[in-house]
Amino acid sequence: MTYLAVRKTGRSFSFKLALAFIVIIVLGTVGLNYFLPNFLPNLFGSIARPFWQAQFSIRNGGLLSREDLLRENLELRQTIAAHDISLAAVFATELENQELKNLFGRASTTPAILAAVIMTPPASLYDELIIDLGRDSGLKKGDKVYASGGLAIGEVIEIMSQSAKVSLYSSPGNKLEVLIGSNNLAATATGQGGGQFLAELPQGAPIEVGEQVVAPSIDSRPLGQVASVVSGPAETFKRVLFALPINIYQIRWVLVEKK
Amino acid sequence: MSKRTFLRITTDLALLLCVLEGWWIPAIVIGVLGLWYFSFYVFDFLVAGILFDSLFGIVSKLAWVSYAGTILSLMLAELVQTVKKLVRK
Repeated sequence: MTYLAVRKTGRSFSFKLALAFIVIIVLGTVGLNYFLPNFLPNLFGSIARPFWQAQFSIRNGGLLSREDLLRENLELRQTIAAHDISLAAVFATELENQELKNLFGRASTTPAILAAVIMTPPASLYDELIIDLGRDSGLKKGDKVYASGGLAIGEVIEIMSQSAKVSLYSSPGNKLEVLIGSNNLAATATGQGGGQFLAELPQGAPIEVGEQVVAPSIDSRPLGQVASVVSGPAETFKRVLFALPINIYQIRWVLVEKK
Repeated sequence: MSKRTFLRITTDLALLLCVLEGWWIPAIVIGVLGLWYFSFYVFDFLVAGILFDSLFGIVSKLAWVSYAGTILSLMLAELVQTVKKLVRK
């Protein structure tokens, strides 16, 4: 008996065609990012930005009624007035500090601008912020970014026309030279993501939970506090874990210090 | 519009929302379900990966890690395709 052979060329051809399309898309993306590095981020960023800005607006009371906004405004004014009294002493101390720095020629006259954080890092992966300032605002790569309280948290790494990406110092793999504790023990801190850092010190180093950690290359202010010290009896080094004193997933505003 | 087409569009919109919000774990779950249920969903998932990398990655100093979305979408597409072939033999 003779049987007709089953034709398989149709399925094979569509599979090869699909594979070819995938290769073209991937190579095209990589090539585009190599020759025109900001093209895709600018293109997709311009599509995503209205959603992010609308979301930011909603989170900050964009859908509240006029009466609710007025009531909230009044409550906030009263809270601010109460805090002004207690902050008067802090301002006086800061002024004295600035005057002393001026005397020693270390006053900072670098301008800083306020930026809204329109996107915070997704759970793990990149540890980056996206802010609503870009090339149009005069930002440059390497501009330092500060959170509330003058805490340096990262640097601008990529600039689009109306937005920019900020890489946090705690990004996975980032290394910082830090001084830990009252004894100023020098160590290299490695970013672990999520605002966390890990440093290693010799087993006998005197370090306790709660001690301040400073990164002199970034700022003279404390970078964080020691959260835990992990060591085993047979290990030559102890692991010091510390974190930024703020929740990076809840940052809404930052200051960008222009070079 | 057929039920299947409507479902595919809904899945794509859900995937787009997850990518825009940076929710990569739900995006992977939706992508894997789409790869399993729909034909040639690899293109939708690949575009989602490229979109994620464009919005949150593609930073020169991170090298290949910047393309994690694209690479992961391709790997998952291949994995689901292999499992589908094994299960449907």
